Amino acid sequence: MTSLWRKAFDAIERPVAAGAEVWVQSDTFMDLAAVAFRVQRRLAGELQRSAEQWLEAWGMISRRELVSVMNQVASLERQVRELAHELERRESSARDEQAPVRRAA
Amino acid sequence: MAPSLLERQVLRTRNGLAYLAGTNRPVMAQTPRDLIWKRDKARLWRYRSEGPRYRPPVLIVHSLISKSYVLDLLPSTSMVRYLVGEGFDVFLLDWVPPDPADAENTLETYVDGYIPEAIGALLEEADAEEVTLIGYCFGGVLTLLLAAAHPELPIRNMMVMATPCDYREMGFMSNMFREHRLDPDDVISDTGLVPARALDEGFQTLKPTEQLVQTVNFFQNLWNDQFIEGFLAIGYWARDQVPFPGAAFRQTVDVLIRQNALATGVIPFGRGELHLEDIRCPFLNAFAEQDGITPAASSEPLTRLVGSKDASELRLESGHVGFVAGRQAAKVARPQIAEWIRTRSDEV
Repeated sequence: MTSLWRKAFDAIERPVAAGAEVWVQSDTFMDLAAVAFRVQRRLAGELQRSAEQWLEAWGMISRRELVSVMNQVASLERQVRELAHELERRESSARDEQAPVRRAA
Repeated sequence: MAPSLLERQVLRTRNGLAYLAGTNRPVMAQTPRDLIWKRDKARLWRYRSEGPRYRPPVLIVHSLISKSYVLDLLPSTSMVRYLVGEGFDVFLLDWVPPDPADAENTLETYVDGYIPEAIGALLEEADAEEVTLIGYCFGGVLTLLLAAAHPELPIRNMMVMATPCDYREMGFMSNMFREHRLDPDDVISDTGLVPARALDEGFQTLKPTEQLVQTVNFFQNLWNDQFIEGFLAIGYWARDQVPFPGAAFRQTVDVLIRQNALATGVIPFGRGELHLEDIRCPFLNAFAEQDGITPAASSEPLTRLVGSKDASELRLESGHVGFVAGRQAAKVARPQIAEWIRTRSDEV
């Protein structure tokens, strides 16, 4: 049996949720959300740049430098992967070429 | 017999204290399995069984936007445990969360690289000649592209679950990336990945009062051990999001969302294009009526877009997660899914 407090909660929450879910899917909300997201991202970016300049001025490591190193390491990892895949492909084709020769022998 | 009011208060206190202390976190992904192949962040697991009763083996390809333990959340609701118990040889192709080294992974990286290689490893490991493919959520998109791009692969049957097709019907998550709103690069971070937080915030926006309702449900059912276990497991998984490779995200927005290519049946891919009508194997399109993430209207068109003469759909009364991890799905959906695979497999 549903308790009284839960019935009261549902009586308020359900119409509010239904309205909010329709609003979230509306063009007006999505246009506003997109603008808000871009503004927030730009402000956060500006703040971060200022903080990084301040850190770099004091000779400290900034997030930008860390991300730059991470991306360089990631790029190296990608190159190693490609080389490893290429090596595997060559070994595999070499095995395929040798197999008929061995069978013939 | 239901506990008395006093007993409930005692249970509430006990479970509440355990929750605050963090000691009642459920143990998830308990079905025993072995890692049989890996490349970069791709992992192929084989679930242990007492000898499969049906062939070909079943390969589940998981989504790129969530963690795969939702398929094996708790023993009582585990999808993979059920399939293993039904006599199938179950494999899971899983993805370790990407890091900046994976930022340039495109959809082709998965469809032309990891998945065909994993299928090769599976066939060798299981000594099989064919495979039944299952794709869940975005994993379904990957399997569709795979089957259309690689007709040479020995795919005996194919099933997609909660898989988006018509992105106009996807609502907020897709419409935010229509022209003049957000561009992919607005959400891709300087590491080249879409942060997990961005996806989490997007999902939460879909149902603005969900967090409040879940909290109320939690306190109302705090005395019920079974409810709390499932609640905590699903809650933990839902917040445990993963980043998305930036290059694959740009393609998703451009091809799948803005061109709505899956819904047209012709998808620009690699240097050419793919046709869904080239998918000729038996095909099952399973989707959930109450799915707020992949609405049924988005999945529906797939059944008529594939070229299979044996294409059917399975509509389920559940949500996106309940589909694979819910108690109702365990009773209703899975027997139908297992039966569909069984009638298209061979007895060993």
